[in-house]
Amino acid sequence: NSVKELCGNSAKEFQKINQLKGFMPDQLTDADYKTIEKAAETMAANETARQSKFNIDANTMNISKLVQIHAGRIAERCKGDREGCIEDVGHNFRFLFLSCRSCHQIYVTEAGVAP
Amino acid sequence: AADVMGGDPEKSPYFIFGSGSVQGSFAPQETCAYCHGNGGKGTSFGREAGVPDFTDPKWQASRTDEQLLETIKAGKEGKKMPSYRGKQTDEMLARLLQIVRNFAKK
Repeated sequence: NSVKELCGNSAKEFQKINQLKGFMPDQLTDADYKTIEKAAETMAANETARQSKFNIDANTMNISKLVQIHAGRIAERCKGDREGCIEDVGHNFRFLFLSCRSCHQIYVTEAGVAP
Repeated sequence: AADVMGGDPEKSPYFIFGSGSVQGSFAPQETCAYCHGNGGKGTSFGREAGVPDFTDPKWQASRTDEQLLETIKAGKEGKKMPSYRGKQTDEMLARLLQIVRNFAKK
């Protein structure tokens, strides 16, 4: 696959988590937590592929690690205790968003790519 | 890697390079990426303003870290490069310099 496909796939997974934003903890089912976990794991795996095949320079490597760190924390947190899980996931989801956006702003500056 | 700033991207130099900072202390035109984006090669606006290509090893070799840091801090009179002294900590400015160097590194 290509960088476009990797990012496109990660964007879909990102949206799966995004759609579950705003729910109260008691409104989320175990299936929802599993959706978040799987989506975050896929995003982290995409970064592994990016780092090995599509690394442009040292900056893209660092930004990819940022994305991987925060996606990994979301996946890990969903495996743990439900108490405070939503807050931790939300916290890391904000950083996941900022990390992806950093790459878009720096590398495809004029393409106006979301997020 | 130490310079990944894995903890808090809101303090990450990449976030600063791309959009200024959380508090929005930079006007959009003042963010580094506005002129030096597109992977350090420069945007259309940046090229009009005469920005160098950060991915060019020859350009990288022609400047010392001290010179680049001074340019970041002082800006460039008449060349649309604003001064960033006081807008970020010296530590963050040094990290932004690291980003400039990284564009030519694998």
